[in-house]
Amino acid sequence: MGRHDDETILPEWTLARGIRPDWFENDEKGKEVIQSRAFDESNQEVSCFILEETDGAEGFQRDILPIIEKELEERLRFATVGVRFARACGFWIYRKPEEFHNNRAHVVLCPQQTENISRKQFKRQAREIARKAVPYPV
Amino acid sequence: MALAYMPLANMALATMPSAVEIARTFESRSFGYKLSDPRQDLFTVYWAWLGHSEQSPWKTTALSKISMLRKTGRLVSGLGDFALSEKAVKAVQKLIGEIEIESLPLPTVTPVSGGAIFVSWRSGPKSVEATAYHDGEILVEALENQRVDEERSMGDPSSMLWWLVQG
Repeated sequence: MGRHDDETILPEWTLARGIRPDWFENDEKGKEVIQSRAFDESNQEVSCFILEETDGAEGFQRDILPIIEKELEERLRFATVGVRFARACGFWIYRKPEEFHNNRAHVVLCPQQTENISRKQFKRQAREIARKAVPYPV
Repeated sequence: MALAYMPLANMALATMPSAVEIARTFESRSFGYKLSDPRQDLFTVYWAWLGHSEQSPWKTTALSKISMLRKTGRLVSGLGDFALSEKAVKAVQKLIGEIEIESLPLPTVTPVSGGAIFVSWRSGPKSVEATAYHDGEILVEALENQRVDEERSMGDPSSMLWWLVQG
């Protein structure tokens, strides 16, 4: 099935996204800020994981993050964001287990239509979600 | 030698790449520098290298980082595809080549998922961000306090960068 919004992914659930160290920057006051590039994507499909299906943040850190880190050969952090907020930012969310070891917790964020939107519009959405994403470890 | 460093003198310290980033640049370019060797003063070597470069320091740094990312980028399931597309590389190299401002802050260069490259220049609360996507499209935006200045972002990249370096 192509792009769609999966209604089995409940609004009260939480998504986690691996964040590369170079996707963080400090603002003028020295506060760490997740940059929009963490949620930008050339093909407009951003990988995330449903924490309710990974045994929470602990399970994500224990079972998922090490697999990604091993492939990247670099330590990662991660950020969480609510499903409701992701949708409010203009994203559909649907499962793509085939892109992560057939794991059903793996989902992608995409625009709320089957076709891509302009890069400027997608970047705006990425910036909005990045602004509210909560980094871990804090 | 001191004259060669003059363009760097106005740079905010925050625009310097991290020590690890500099070390990786040197290791990848076979300058004989090793991160683990405590006898070498990394920043002295780095600044001397910039001083002798024929290109402006920011261009040398950006192109060197792009070259490194091109070699190391790969698909990482669950995170993104960091294998840089040739169209993205060419587009960002063209952008860099067309900018005639010699004295700019050292840019941040990172991969973006989907074979794209992100380059940003920052000076205090202002920044200019360029993203070259896998199909060669480039989006350049001017930001102040992390907010996009829509009107300024309609201009060409050089005018945004002039705005960045003006006080």
